[in-house]
Amino acid sequence: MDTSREIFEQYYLNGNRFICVTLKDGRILVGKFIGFFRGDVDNGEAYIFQWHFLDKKVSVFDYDKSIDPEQGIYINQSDIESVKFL
Amino acid sequence: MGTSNGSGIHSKLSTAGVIVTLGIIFGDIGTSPLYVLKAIIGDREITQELVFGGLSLVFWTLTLQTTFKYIWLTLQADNHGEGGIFSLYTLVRRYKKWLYFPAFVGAGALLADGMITPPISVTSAIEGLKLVVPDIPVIPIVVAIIFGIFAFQRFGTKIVGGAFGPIMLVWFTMLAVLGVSQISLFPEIVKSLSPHYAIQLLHNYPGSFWLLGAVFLATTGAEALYSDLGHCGRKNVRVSWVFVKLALFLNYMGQGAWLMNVPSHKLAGLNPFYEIMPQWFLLSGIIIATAATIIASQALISGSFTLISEAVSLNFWPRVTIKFPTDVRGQLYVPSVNWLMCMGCIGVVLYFKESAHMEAIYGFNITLAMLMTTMLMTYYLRFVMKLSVPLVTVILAVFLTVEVSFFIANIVKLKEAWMFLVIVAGIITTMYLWYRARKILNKLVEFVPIIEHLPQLVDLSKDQSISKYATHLIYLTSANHPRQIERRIIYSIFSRNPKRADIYWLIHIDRTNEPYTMEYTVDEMVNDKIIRIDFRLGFRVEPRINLLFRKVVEEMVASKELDITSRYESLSKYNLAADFRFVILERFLSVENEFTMKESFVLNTYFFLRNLAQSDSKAFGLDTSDIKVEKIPLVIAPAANVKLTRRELNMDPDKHS
Repeated sequence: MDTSREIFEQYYLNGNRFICVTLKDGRILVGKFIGFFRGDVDNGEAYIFQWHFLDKKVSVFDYDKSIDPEQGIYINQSDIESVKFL
Repeated sequence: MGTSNGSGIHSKLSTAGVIVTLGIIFGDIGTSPLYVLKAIIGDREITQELVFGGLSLVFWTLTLQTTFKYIWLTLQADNHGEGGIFSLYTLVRRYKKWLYFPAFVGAGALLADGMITPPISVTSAIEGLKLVVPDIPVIPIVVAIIFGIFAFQRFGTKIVGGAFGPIMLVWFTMLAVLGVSQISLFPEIVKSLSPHYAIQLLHNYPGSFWLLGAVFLATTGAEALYSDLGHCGRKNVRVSWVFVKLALFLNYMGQGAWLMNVPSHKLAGLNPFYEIMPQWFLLSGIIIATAATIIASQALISGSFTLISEAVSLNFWPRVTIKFPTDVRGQLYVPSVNWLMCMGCIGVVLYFKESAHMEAIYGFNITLAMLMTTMLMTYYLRFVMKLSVPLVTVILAVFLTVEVSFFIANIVKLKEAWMFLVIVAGIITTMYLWYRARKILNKLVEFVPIIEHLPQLVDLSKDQSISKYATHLIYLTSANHPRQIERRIIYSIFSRNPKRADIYWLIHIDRTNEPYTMEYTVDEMVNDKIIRIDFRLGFRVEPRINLLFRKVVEEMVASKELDITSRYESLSKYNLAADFRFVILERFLSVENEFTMKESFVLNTYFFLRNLAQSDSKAFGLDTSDIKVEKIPLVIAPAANVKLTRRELNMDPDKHS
């Protein structure tokens, strides 16, 4: 089931708050989504297939870092177990 | 059901519309009598079984394939009045993701056919001159005519196009009169309309199945008929077809009647088409035939331009220069395609030399295109027209039986026509690679919510410490959602030499499934600071952004939503207009990538083709505007395993001494 649209809508509806992302491999990440990659929905892919995530420690408040594509990590939607809004 | 009535200039049923339709739609199918019966008889002995059976097959092929499949059924699959394989594809693409494939194959086959139809038609017509001047050099004349047709394309057909319909009216009338004059000498030939003779021929005649390859030539123009639907409208096509079919069949029967009276029992190189002309009329007949074949070639060339233009709009083909030689809607000129086709056509003439040899390669591509249309039509009948599964199955079975038979009968032609298979394969491969690469690249576009960057944009705009980059700064965005934007645009504005502007514009183009939609919306995200324009353009509309954007700005100025007077004090007092600057972000493949072999092939081919194709600025009609092109590296799979070992400095004093 594709939950990416729900995450997307909830996340941006809630004003881009800090989130806690639990991955399927057990890792827990705290930070913000700073970008996303849309999937090819017509071909059965998730609405968002990958998220650009910036760790809280890196500080999203540093504007330069949040717009630099080389900052942060990329998380596949398929690797996400759950997302909690902090 | 059709989505609308035709939208072409002659879409309403009228006498003028019917005559124009004769010139635009029926050139290809209408010039078939020049070679069909000659191809069926070939070197075979002329017998009643062969003549009656051949005529019967031609009649029933025209009835089943042209009348039933195209005139009655396929013409219902109009996309807001437009026809053709890509129009059909846009109507059904949502139902199965692989439907792009038959669309590619059909389009490739049609484009390749564009290199055979003009040579065979024009050569057949000019060969008739040998009856008047036996030593006439046919090949140079044909090459000159073909070169002339292609050289003329840049001017469009607005002036001469008006004469096409009346000339074809004369042509079809001539076909009918010549036919009747021969039928009166052998009235029994009318019996050949009975399907009994076709069945008998297929059942008894030795090697009869392979005759289908020649019979099929009678219906080759049917696919082109569907492609040009938009210029004429369904009703005009249907009404004129009644006249065209009657004229065609009177002529075919006239040729049959003449064959039944041939004393020699062999054709011996004669063309029954010219043999039924009285000697005194021969030269006039050849002139009319030549004019008709030029018109037929013109229709096919125009159809090829339209096909490529649609392929570009649907992201199936690299962007190529598309010109609009006249103000007639839908009239295009694609120089690259024009000259490639010209070379192909002249190559066919020089290689095959005679129409009889060209007949041996003609037909294969069209059977392929027809099969692909049938495949797409199946989805149209089932999901758009909502016909029941059993009914769709019956229709599919009938057409597949007929078309697969023709396809197999035409496969023998591949021995001679292999180069066309290479052309078709090349076109399909280009379309597929372009399509795949675009899919891969689209997935690599990172979006961010624009709302997070609006305050920074406003602050940047007000920051006097940064020199102004432009008064109006315009970016093209692929974000469908108005609240999203590509990260690379944000990066370009802020991190790459911060670009301060008074007003930031975001322009988005949405391609619609309708052919000629031209709409726009304006969204002022921050008043007089950040404005987004969404254009909704049909797949047949050229995205000339400069022109469209100027129109929007003019309308906004007229409605006092926007003031474009220069913001510079010295210039504003003279009411001079402000400057507009476009930033185009062009991606290139970074050397930092490590791909799989397949990805590497797809993307390298894409970027290679892209370098050959038109630049974004030209494609969007911005070449006369103030543009800044920024190159953005595309890093998809950065090299991960960089094994770099640090070694301690060797401080051995002996080595440094």
